[in-house]
Order: sequence, then structure tokens, then C-alpha cells
Amino acid sequence: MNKKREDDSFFRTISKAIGKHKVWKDEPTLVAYGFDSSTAPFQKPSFVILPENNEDVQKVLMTANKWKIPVTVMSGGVNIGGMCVPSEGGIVLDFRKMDRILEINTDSGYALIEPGVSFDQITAALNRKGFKCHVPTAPGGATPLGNYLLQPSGSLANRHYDSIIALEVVLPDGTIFHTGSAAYPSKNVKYYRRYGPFPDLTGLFCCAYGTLGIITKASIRIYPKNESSRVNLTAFNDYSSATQFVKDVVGANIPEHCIIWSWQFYKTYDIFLENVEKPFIPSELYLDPLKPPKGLPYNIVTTLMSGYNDVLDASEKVCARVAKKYGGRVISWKELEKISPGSARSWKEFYLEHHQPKMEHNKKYGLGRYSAWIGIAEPKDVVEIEKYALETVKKLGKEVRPICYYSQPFDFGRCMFLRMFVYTDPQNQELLNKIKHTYTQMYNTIMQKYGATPERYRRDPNMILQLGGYYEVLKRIKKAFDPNNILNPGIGLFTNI
Amino acid sequence: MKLNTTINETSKSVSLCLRCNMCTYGEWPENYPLCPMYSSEKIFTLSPGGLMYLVRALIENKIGYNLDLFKPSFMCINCRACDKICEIIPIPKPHLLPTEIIRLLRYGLVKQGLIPNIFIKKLYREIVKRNSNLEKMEIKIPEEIKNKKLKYILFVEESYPERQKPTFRSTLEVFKKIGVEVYVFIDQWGSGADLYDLGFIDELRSLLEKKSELINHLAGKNLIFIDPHTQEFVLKNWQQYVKNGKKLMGQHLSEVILSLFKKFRVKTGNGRKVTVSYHDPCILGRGLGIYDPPRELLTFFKGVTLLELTRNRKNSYCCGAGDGTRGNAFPEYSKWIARERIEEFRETKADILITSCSYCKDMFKKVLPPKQRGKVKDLIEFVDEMIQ
Repeated sequence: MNKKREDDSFFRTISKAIGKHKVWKDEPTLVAYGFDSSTAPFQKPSFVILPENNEDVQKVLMTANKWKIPVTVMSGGVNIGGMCVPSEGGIVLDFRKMDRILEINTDSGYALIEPGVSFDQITAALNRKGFKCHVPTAPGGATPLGNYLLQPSGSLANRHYDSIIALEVVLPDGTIFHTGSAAYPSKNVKYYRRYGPFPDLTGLFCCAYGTLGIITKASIRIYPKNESSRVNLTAFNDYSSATQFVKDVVGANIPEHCIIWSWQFYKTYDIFLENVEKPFIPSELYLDPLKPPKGLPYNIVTTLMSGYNDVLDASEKVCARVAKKYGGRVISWKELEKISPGSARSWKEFYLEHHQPKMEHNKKYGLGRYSAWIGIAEPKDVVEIEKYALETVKKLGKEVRPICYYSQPFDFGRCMFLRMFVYTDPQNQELLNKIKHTYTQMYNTIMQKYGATPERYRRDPNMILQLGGYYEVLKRIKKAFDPNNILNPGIGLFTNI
Repeated sequence: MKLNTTINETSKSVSLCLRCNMCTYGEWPENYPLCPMYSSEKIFTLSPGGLMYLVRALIENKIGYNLDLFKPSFMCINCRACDKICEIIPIPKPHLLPTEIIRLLRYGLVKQGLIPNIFIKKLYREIVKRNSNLEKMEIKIPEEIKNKKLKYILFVEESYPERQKPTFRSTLEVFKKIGVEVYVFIDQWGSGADLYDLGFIDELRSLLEKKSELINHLAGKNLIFIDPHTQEFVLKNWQQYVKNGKKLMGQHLSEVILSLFKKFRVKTGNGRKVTVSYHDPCILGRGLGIYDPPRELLTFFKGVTLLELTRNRKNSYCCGAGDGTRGNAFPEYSKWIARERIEEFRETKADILITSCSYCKDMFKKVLPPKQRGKVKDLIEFVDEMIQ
């Protein structure tokens, strides 16, 4: 059967199974779903399917499996790494219509959501109940499920690293199963617990990029906003001091989370400030990232705390003492408003209202094509990595500006995360390739020298091929779950299974 | 937008779209759905972001101009919600807003003759036919505009007095009741706002070149507009044809009447108690930033209680008429949007739905049963009724 006839036949079959209105195959739609804001190659799917419930997902997967058609899942589609760019001729399973918040359990502390629920939806719903969830630096239109499955960085990753608890998963053969406490037979299934007494299957689907199964429901951790939330601001003239401060206060169990912001990053929040109708780019963004102008701290650390006011009063005093110990100083919100009014406004929303500022996080993407590099290592090593990364990226030339980063402790400071990113002409493919090549070299260098690890897969099979036994075992699991390799094969995570 | 901008010049802007979907809804925590096109199908293609992707695909030769592009390009109702939300797309030069880029997409389709829609095709043919007489046409510049220092110039497109008789009549009546003399300037062949919205850019350029002398005479004068579409287009786009260094200036009728009420202490209490809701027209609100004057004008009258619609001000929802097609290109889609808005009005339990755009008024009337059509009024008609 030729491709056209095969597609027509599949279209009839799947339309009959789930309803024609859920299946799109017009040219503009297929093209619009064939690429994203990353440099991943354009690959046009044959179908875009918008399921409305888990039965739709089950039918699509069973049919696709029978026909051996690749399926790429998309929870919201906000992806800067090309992980949702489909396989040529395959299916995009776009979950934007499955966007219901099924339960907010304030007793246990979880929300049960469908994959299409966005951060803006869930943070608003939680806000009404006096609760919050981990908020990343991604846009508010991104989805918690998509973000959390990739291991999130953002507002709460110090104490609350694993944001996902239990899942409902559909496999290509149509099996629907639950993980964590939701796996237990009950008239009243609950999603409050992830681990034990058996192996953790939730974890298997984290960082799997839709290659092992399709998630149709997930419970995510939520937290009370408490009597008060405060953000302590501390300024440092070097990254090493900022990191020592963070290690110290995290070790003393003071913050829920800390983020170290580079000066050029916090200045990106000031875009548009002079006139809301017209873009305004602060000129400082194009200076040497290692030399901030007078009056701008090299790093600002935001330390988020919540709890009873008495405790927070004491914690703030401790933050001031520790900052002084490492050569830093506490700065007031008023001072921040002078230095960077955009960050003052954004951080209040981000930390105190617990949601992404409507566009503040996004504006920076208007500076050019965003290319990010992430290194994760032990705290003492990250201090050296920051210098190395800045110097290396600087060598890419003045077309690669601004160079920004933020850094934060994961899991009570067991490791530190450093995300550095640059903005370039989106059409300069040569430069983009050069950046990609430099980043790969940087990953190799820090891995060899510091035992550092990347945070996310980058559509580069070499990243997993070098993992030896780990990858061999993973491939066996893949074979058991998805023997025809229909789940997101385009990203190249599993080849020759 | 400069009318000689090409779609290729937007390549940087469109390649920065993150497909974050935030162009489709309003401010947190309400997150009201604002993009009618996206609300209708909830697929990425039919969203402002989706259209940015299609433009990028065209520029990067991932797709060619074809008939399939017509629907997504023209279903955008030009409500400007995305323009107010997205702060990524306008950053790179030429600093265009999403709806301006969508107009360039339409222009491309029009230039290729890819207009399958009967209504728009007819409109286009009429414009082309009309423009073929452009050389012979004489643009009259009234002596009053040339010489006199007129204080109140009411700028009205040629078709308006006939098309919107009651509103036009009420406008003149209100000025009369206040005791202010207004000069009515009838703009021959229209401002070109419709041509702009529909992507008839070549025809628009010819029209405005022809009108350039008139435009230069109008620059520097204080114009009063009834129609927000005309006002926005004239003030934002005619400027590129001004050569004398002056600025095109103008106010919306609601702003002028409000200031006259305050200045002349107009008696506004006829004792009638009435509850009203005010529908912010997309162009008057998001386009021109005029939210308060119509509300102030309404509540100037004793006895009038304003009951806000759930989605109001910059979170307002379109009436469905949208741009130059006035709801006629995709009638069922436009009616669906209007019904949604009427439903919101019903929830307020107000007596009257006020708006200050003839497109909105006509669109709402289309979906109301004949007996209820009187519930929709233009602001100036209401003012005319209420003024003593």
C-alpha cells in the first residue's frame, strides 16, 4: 500500500474509533505541528489527534501500534528542546483538550490533573485554596506534567524535587495501569503516595520523553501557602560567595528554595519597561557578563521562605548574618526596584503569588533564539563550572549576547543546577551549530573533570549510548513496553532496540 | 505598520514564538479565554501562535501559499487580544504585533488570488474595480478643512451616515443638545481600515497615495471619530503619509462628549433608572486604550447603574464581527462568538447592552430575537435618549 492510501485507510479507521472531529490532517495543521522553537529538523506528521479521554488515547495507541505508526505526545507543546517534534508521517497526540483539574486534595496535598492542564490553570486554582505548587521559569502556558516529567527547576526544587506522585499510563498494547497508591484496588482510588512497597514505576516515566508510555493522569505535589511567604534578597559580587550563602542557609533548613540570578538575567526582566507599547532593551545586556556596571550586583539570591511569621522573622535575621559572613548584603525590595524594576515586579508574582508572571518570563525569548546549557554538579564544582562556562561561551563572540544564567540547589543542596543561556539571531544556522558544538564540548569537559551530569536529553543519541549497562537495561524495558518502537522514536533515544 | 513591509521581514519575530499558548487567554488568575478562533476549535493551528508558525513555515519554504491557508488566516477576528498579551513577537524589528503579521499573511494570499470565500472575494473585486477609477477620482478637500481653524471636526467615513443612520443622527443631536457646533467631514471612499484588515494592501496603498494631500491637510487638527476602526487606522497608519511634520490627532466621540458634559455641566438626570452593561469594542479598548470615558459617560446619568460583563476592559471578548468582513465571511462562526457574548450579558441581568462600535451593535442584533434587539444600543444613542 502506498503512503497516501495507507494514511487514508488509517484515517478512516481511527476516525471511526474516536470520532472524525478529533483527527486533523489539513496541511496547515500538519506543518504547524512539524517544528518548534528549537533547531530540531522539520518533520511533518500525517495526523494530529486531540484526544478527549483515556479511552481515546488507548484506541489511538492500539491502532497506531497495529499499523506501526509513530506517536509523539504533546502535553502543551511549549518545548524549547524539540522533544515534541514528531516523526515524519507519524501522529502527534496533542493533549490540549484533556485539561481538567480532577481533584485538589488539600488534606493530603496533591492535585490530580490531566496532561493538558497549564501552570496558569493550576496555580490559579491552587491560589483560590491557599495552596501552591512548584513553579518553573517556563511560561505560564506550559504544563506541569510536561515540565515535572523532565525534572523541574524553578521555585521549590530545593526541598520539593520530585513533583510527581502517581500516574495513570497507557501502553501501546492498550494496557491502562496506575502507579503509586493509585495502583491499589479501591472504590476510592487515591493518588497521595509514590513509593513502595514495590519498585517505583512513576520514576520510570520521568525523563522518558513519551517513549515508554502515555500518561493520561497525574497527581502532583501541592503545598500550603502558610501564614506568610517572604523572599529575602541578598546581593553578592561573585558566584562563589552566593553559592556558599545558599549552601549555608539550605543546610540550616531555612529556605524552601534559593535561586542565584546572574545580573544579566535579572536585567532581562526590564525589557519593555520604558514604554509598555514598545520594546526597550537595556543596553547592559550586551556588556561583558563577567563585569557588571557599577551599582548592579553580580548575583542576586532570592531566598523563599514560608511559614509562621515568628519563624520567618528569625530566618530573615539569619539570612542577613550569613550573607555578611560571605561578603554579601541584604537588599530591600525598594533597592531592587531601582536596580531592576522588572525583576522586583516579577519575583513578587513568582514567589509570593506562586505563579509565572504573565509575560515577564517570556519577554527574554524576544531577544533572539534561546540556546541553553545546563550543568549539574556538586556545589564546590559548580563554582568552577560557572567561570569555565562563562569564559567558554564568551568566546563564541559578540553575536551571542546576552549571556545569562541562574543557579539553584537541588535536593537540599546535594547538587547545584546551573543553566546558562544565550540569545542569537534565529536565522544564523552556522552560529547555532557552533553553539551546539560548543555546548557538547562543554558537557564532555565538565563530565570528565567534575563528574557533572546533564539535566535533560537533547536529541543526541550519544548522550545515552555512553551509559553502557544502564542503557542496556532500559532498552529491555522499552522492548517490553513498546516493542514496535512507536512512542516518540523521532528523538532518537531508542534506536536498534 | 509601514505598508511596504514584507512578510519576510517578520522572520525573526515569528521564529521566536514559543507556542506557549498565552496569546489565547487573559490575565492570571482569571485566565479568561480571549481568542475566539482558538476557543472555537482549540487546536494550535487556529491560534495566534499557530499563525506565527504558518508564517514562519511560509518564509522557510516548509509550505507554499495554498487555499488551505485561507481559513486559519481569515478566521482571526482581529480582536487584538494577542497583541496586548504577547511581548515576544514585537521585540525584533520591524516590531510588528501578531495581528499585523497576520495581515501580511492575508496580503500574501490575496496577492496570489487565494480567496475562496465568496464574501471576501466579492469585496475584493469591488475594491479592485473601484480602484481602477482611482486616477479619475478627485479627492475633494473642503474649504473648511483647508482654511478654518475648526474646533470640532467629526470625521465620518462616506458610507457611515447611511449605514448607521440612528447612531449618526444621535451624534449630531447630542452636539446640538449640548450647544456645540460640529463640522462633519465626510471621508470619501473610506479610510482604508477595511482594506488593511483584509490584507488588500496594494489597493490600500493606491488609495492612501491618492489621499495624501487630504491627509496632510488633516494632520495637526483635532478629529473626532465615531467609529473606532476608522480612528485607529487613521491615527496609526495615515501618519506614514504625512509630509508636513504634523501629527494626526483625534479623540473618540465618547471622550469628547464626556469632556463637554463636564465643561458645560450638562443636565443628565431625567430620573430614569436603568441598568446597563458596557461591551468594550476590541478596537476602542485594546486597540486605542479607551476604557474609562464610555463608562464615565454612562454613569454621568443619575439612575444608570453599570453592571460589568465578566470579561471587560482589556479582557473583553470580541462581538464576532471582527474586522472588515463585519461577521459576513464566516457567518456561523461570528454568530457563535456573538452568542457567547450575549450569554455573558444575560448573566449580568442588565437591561441594556451598550457598546460604542457599530460593528458590535449590528453583530449582537443579528443573534438576538427581533423583540430583544432594542436591548442593544450604541453609547451615543443611549446618551441622546438620556440627555435632557
